[in-house]
Amino acid sequence: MGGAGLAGMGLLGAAACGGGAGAGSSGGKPSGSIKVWIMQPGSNELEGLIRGFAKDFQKKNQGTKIELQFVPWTSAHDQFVTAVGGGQVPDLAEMGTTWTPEFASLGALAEQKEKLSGKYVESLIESGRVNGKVYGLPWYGGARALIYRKDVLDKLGLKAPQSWDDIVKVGETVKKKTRLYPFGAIGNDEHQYLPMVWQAGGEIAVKSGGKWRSKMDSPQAVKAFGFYADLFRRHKFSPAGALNWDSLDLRKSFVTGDMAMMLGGGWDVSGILAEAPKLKGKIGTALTPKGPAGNRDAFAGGSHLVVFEGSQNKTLANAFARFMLAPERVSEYADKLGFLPGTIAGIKKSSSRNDPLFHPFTDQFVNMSRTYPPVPQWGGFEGDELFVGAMQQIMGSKQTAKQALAEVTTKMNQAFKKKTQ
Amino acid sequence: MRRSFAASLGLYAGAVALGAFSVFPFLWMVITSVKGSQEIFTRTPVFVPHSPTLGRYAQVLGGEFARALLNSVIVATGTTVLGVSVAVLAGYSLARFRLPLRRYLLMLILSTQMFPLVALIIPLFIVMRTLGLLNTYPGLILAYLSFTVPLAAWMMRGFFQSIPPELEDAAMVDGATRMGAFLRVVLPVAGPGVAATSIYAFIVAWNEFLIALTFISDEQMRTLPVALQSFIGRESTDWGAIMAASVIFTLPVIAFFLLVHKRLTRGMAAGALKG
Amino acid sequence: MIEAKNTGQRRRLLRPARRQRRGRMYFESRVLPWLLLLPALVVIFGLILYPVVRTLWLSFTDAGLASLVSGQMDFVGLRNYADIFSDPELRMTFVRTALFGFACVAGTMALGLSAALLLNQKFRGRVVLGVLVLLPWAVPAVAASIVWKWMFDDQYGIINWALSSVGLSMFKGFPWFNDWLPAFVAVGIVVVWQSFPFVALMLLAGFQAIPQEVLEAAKSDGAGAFQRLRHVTLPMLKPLVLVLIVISTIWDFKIFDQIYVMTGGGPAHSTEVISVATWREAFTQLDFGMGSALAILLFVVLALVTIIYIRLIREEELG
Repeated sequence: MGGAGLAGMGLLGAAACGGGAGAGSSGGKPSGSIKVWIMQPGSNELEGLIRGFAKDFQKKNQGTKIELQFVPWTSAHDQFVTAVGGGQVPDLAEMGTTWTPEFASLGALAEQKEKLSGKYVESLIESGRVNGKVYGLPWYGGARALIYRKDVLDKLGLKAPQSWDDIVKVGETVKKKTRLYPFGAIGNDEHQYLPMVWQAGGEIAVKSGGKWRSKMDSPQAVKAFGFYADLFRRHKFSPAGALNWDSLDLRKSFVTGDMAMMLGGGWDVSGILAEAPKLKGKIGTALTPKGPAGNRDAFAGGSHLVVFEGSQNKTLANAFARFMLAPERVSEYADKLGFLPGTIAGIKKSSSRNDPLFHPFTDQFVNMSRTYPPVPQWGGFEGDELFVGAMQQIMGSKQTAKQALAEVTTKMNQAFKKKTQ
Repeated sequence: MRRSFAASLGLYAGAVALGAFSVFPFLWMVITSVKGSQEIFTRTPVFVPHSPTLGRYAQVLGGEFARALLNSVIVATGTTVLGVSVAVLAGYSLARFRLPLRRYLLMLILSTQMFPLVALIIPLFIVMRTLGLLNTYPGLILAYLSFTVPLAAWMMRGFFQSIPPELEDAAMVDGATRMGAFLRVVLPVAGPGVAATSIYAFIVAWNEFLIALTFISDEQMRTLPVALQSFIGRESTDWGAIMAASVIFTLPVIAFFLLVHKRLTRGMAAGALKG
Repeated sequence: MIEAKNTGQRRRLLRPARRQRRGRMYFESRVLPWLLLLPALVVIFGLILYPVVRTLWLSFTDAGLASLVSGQMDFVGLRNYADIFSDPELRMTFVRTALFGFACVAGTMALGLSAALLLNQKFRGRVVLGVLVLLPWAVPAVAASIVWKWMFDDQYGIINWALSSVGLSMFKGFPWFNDWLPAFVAVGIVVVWQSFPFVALMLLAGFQAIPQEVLEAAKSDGAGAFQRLRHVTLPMLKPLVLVLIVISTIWDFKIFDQIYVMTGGGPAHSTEVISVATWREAFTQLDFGMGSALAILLFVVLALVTIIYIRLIREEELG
């Protein structure tokens, strides 16, 4: 029978996978070919690095073929949806950590049965966990901290702000004494202000009795959003157009020398230095200023490597994933991206650990960062611009923080109630 | 014909304004693509780069972009040739014959244009997968045909209607078959229409993004609109490279314009003489 | 006349071939038209028919992403449509789409007509301008949106720089994308910039098809340039103009790329049009039932608008 061969192969694949996908080598010799989607890293050089990994892997494992495709970030979510809906998924893919629960709960991803704890960065493991099962291998990640113009603050005899109050104090002085915008309060990037809910002692959503409930209408959340909007609205620390700025616009203003302080990641620092070499030595970095609750937590974002449930060759997919996660490779790629490796061994190898300019990002990521609630609905919240829209309404004085967040809470709870489709 | 001084002045002022509006954004793309990266974002715009560089073009063409350029040329040319052929035949049929239910047919053809593509993309993907046409030139060309032929046929119908039917009647009376008359007498007169329609088809196929993104997963098969995105990373965007890539992206279309434009104006002149 | 007589004689001479000719006439009047039309119908409907029917079906279901794979979905009748009409935000989206769409059509037609009129004059540099005007059409939508968004940048954009340099100081740091109105103005300019060349090209072709004698006759009757345009040129081109309006309307009601790149539908959904809402419901909320219903409604709106236009064309043809 013609179908026997195919069915046999499927069985074999499943058996090998169930036998412990741990290290590819232990679960039988990988062979065949797989399709791998990697997010567009933004330069030929970085693409070349990934291509090199694939080539090395194929050389080491004769008879395997890695078919790479680079997916543009801006349309990556669409492309995953089309692949799942159209019934033709890749075998292995890089996926933004906030999307992993969404596609996992659809049954599109294969569970990672290996014990990841202790080997990978804890917050990134958490962000790939749905109902106790883990679906994403942490590849790289990062957290935002404070980036500031050391030369400007030094001249004014100021220190990097340590708290929310400091941001206002330092900012007011910078505003009075220089022509720079003091602090990048921007509307179109939720990672800037959602963590402030934690810093104020609040939560975004909590799980009780197996059900998620939004906490965005709590006084802490209202305080956080109100404070951030006030930096823009009342203190005018950033220009009027910042209401619709995203993180790239913010970095641009820092590069041109018009911005004194911003929240950003290590990737921003390397980007700034590449685009504005004249700022070398003039930039300082520090941990995210702490909120009224004494908390400094920032958002731990990044990428997972996920194996698709529809893959016919999970052995090879897992083997190639582990290959890219080897300390030297993961640290090289993450370093060049300006992120940190998702594995503990990788972080130990990462060069940014010893650089004082980059050290705060490592510290922030490893010790003071959290992920957003790993709910399947998060991708929908992002796509709906739920938090961004609310912040822009507050910044534009169209709604108070209380009104806007009450709406956010209603929408979140409605989404939690809806059966996940 | 003599024009008053004021009219001439108005005419030239209008021409300059129109020309500037049409060209400036493209010019700005070109200028930016050769600027040093420190000159891209400045409070006072830099119109003349301090030390212009063509490095970005080398960088862009050195990557996968050159391959994407080739793919795009193949797909756009294929779509144009096939699409215009099909549309010419259909347009002639719709213009000259009293088909039953012609009005409804015209409306039906046009109505396929009224759906937002995003809504159709997943079922289209399934159709393509079933036909085994994902990741192939014919797959992309077929998809683009279904989105260009409706309007192209409409446009050709309009052009054929403006050609007097007496032309082919005379040829047929002289013994030519309908097809013979069409090919030898009508089609040459419809030159400008064919040229305009082919520009339309070429541009649609050249610029299409969503279908190219979803139907192509083989790195070697991707087309320009998708490749353009390779300079946008997660937390970084290489503006200079995007501008250089956009210029490279636009040049072949301009070349196509120039190619067809002669035919467009010459055909028009000829048509005007005959008319 | 003479020619006709000649052929009449010749026809009589060719009598033995008459049966064959009959067959050919039947073929040419009944079979040939469909044969010519067939390839187009195949490429148009062969691929589109299933997606359209499926979209229509999905609009009556609660399909999510998982149900697209499993095929398990519930039929919910008109609930998606009812939801759309009862949601003030989505109702607003329809109004917005229509207003923005018509504004873009008006802008495109006005600029396209002006450009065509200008290019129809004889002056030095006309051929060069004829090519330059086509340039915006050649720039891919995504690239055009990126470069224009950049020109509209509040801090480093050349537009704010130019406007404030000529003394309009309110444009110093003017935030184009903070509110729906200026944001739509910016996006509208890009849409018009990209679509007027097509209109200009088609109208120019139309102008040149008007027999010179008609214009000369009007001129000798003492009609000025503007009067000739109003009473001779435009009435003769009315069918073409209406077709161009139909096509532009279909395009401008479906605008996606420019809005997606320049505003993403924000701030707070205030620049979201139906095609963007369709994408958001389907691809970010994974509510394919709702996304499909929005797509079908956009189709209905466009079909109605087109039918009205075609009525206008037909009246014109009769009158």
